[in-house]
Amino acid sequence: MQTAESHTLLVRISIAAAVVTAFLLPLWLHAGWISLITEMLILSIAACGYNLMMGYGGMVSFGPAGQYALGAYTTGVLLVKTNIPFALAMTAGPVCAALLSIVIGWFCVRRTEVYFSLLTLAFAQIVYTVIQKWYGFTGGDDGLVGIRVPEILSGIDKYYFFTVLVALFCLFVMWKMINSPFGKMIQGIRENPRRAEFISLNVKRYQLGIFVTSAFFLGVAGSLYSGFNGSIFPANIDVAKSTDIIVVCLMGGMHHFLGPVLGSIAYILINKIIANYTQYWALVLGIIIIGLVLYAQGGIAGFISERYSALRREA
Amino acid sequence: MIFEARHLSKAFGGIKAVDDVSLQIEEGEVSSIIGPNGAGKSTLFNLFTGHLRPDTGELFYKDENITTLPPYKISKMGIGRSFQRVNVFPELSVFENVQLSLLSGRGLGSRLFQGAGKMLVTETRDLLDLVGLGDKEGSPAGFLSYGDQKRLEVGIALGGAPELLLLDEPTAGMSPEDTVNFTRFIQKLAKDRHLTVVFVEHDMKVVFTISDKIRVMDHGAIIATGTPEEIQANKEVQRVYLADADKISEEQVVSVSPGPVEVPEKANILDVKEIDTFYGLSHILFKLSLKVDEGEVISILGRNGVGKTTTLKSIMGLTPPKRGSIKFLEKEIRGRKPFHISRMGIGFVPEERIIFPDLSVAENLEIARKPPTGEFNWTPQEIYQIFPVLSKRKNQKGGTLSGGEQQMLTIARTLMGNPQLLLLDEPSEGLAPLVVKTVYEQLGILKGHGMSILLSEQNSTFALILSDRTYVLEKGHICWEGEPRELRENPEIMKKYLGV
Repeated sequence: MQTAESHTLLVRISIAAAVVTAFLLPLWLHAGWISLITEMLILSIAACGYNLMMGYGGMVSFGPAGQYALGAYTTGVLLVKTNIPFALAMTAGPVCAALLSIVIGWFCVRRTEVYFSLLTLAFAQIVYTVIQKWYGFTGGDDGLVGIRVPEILSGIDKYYFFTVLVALFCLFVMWKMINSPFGKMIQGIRENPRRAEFISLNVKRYQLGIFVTSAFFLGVAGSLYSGFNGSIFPANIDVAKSTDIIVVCLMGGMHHFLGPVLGSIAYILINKIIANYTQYWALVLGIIIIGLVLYAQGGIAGFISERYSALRREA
Repeated sequence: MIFEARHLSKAFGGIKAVDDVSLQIEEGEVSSIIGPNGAGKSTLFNLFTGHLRPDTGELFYKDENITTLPPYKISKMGIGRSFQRVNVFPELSVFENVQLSLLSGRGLGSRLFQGAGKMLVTETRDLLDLVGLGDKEGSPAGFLSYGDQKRLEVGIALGGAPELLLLDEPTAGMSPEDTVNFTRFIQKLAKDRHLTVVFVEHDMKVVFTISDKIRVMDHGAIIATGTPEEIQANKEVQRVYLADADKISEEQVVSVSPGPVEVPEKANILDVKEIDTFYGLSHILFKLSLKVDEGEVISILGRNGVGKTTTLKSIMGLTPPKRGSIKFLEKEIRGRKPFHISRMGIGFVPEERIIFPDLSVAENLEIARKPPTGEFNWTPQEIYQIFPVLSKRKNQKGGTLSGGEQQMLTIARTLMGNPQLLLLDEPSEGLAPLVVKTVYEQLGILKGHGMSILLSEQNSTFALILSDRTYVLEKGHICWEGEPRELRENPEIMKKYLGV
């Protein structure tokens, strides 16, 4: 019991330390790094949101970029074409992503496994194509530029603080959710859908629930990215974006809550560092992914927790 | 009357699995459905719970028509069930398995922001104590022994606070002693909670002890209904089903077992020396040693969870032992991969059977064909001779076979790999008494062909008849070894380690 308590204490202290450090970082790091960390945080929200569905729900979607795009473009279009307040546009992104995902999800959860995956891919491609071709509304290939950000958030440090707050809030909400009865049901459905159905669970409805929740957080990440980047292009939301999000989850470890966060940090760091040396950074990344999948299926988080529990056992 | 089925029929590919079944279940009644494997009992349950739609007929629960409702709605109305093949949430803890069911049963499953960790803790623990898993709440359900998973299933079913409980072979895979305890438990439960219980069961002791009413099924139809006394006296039932394993006479023993095969110099085929096997951190087998000589049939007996399956899996390389040595035909095989061991000539028939459900019987056999590793070179024709029923089902999909036929198919499929040693994990599990007898007769024929066999069993009756030597396992140790005759004459050991 003693060790369990000290373990919880340790976890709490590390989280508190991480949060405090996050707020102090701009004192030490120059703008380039802060911008990079902001990107990591946005990717973290997207990946954690996606992982609700993949890691906890066992539903492997191939099209998370679709939901991310809905968030990013809703916010982007509203901020470029209308005068509505920034906060409203920021909320509209995730809400719109979630609402449209009720329709998309309604079709997708009708199928399981690879058929589910293919349906999600198809819907993401539909979203991409509409965005890419609808010049009048989304700017098409020319993208949306001049996304306005209010005075209070302009400047990378300010936007960074805003992102930290949103990320903390989102992570907290997701943490609550996966530990709620709803979260447990989702994990039960992942483990054995047939049995789950016979403890009175309407499996499809729960799956739709987690699909929409996941879409909401992907939408949050998309909206944040619009504001952060000041512009948005189809290239930001294509299939490669989906792959990014999936790889981040695998790399960080999809069976740990913070796995996708670790994955985002590692992914962007690798990207940045390797890009300094070679333009073939994707090649290096590919090799890293092959290594991870073959030799460290639990990802970074799995690796750490294995080492950590081995240490605890010895102690 | 709590439940009623009217003229229920269901066919699979032309074969009538359930044929015009009508029945009424009274409130508070404990009844059982018995019948040979393939009679349609599990199909009937699947129709009751909405997992299958009947072709014709109607179902009523508390006067409401539930014929077309999906399973989750039927479950919500108060019908709970356990499944024939174990069906738990393997990676969740034992505690979570039951808690999940309780939460869902009380309609709390959709709560989004309440911490589930502290909800219904007492209720969950009570239920775990009730099914006898109180001390195992922390371990992942997938790590439990087969019998414990069966208990957990009942726990999950009870979590929904059902009024009608359908149990599909709840005691299959349990030791005789556990079976008795479990039977009492169900009896008490039914009384205390005013439960209506219907179960499918092959253990006649259980059936006759706790049933108020027994229904006998054969070829999809109910051929008799009555009290235990009436059923026992029914000639027709005797003929199709009740060849009581416990009353096997000496002549039958002889007909089953051809006796040890005369091999001039018995070569050693398998030599296991002091192996230690672990599951994660838990130590399962302790310095376990055993031997199989050519042409011998060796049985490993013991209660549920003592390490019988782990012993076989250790030999097969599925749970590689950390220490010790395993020699097959004088070659060390410890540390080799399962496929390699299988290729060297050891065939494994797992408890779960694992046939290919979408392939036909013939395809299931063809796919397993391997070049001979020793003296055996089986052709499908020879195999059909040993298992005539498979020949009749040649073109039927594996998934539509009955439990007994699937067991035979698994053995047959393993033989197609031409092994020199056959490992069988609980071949009698979940089979009707008559089918158990048939399977053991078939094993006897294999023995006659000179096949070396190592099998594990909880139900010792037939294993003791067929085997030349026996090892009794207790908590990962071998606590007794010798000839079956000595064991039968030693009721103390039988009682202490086998619960007979």
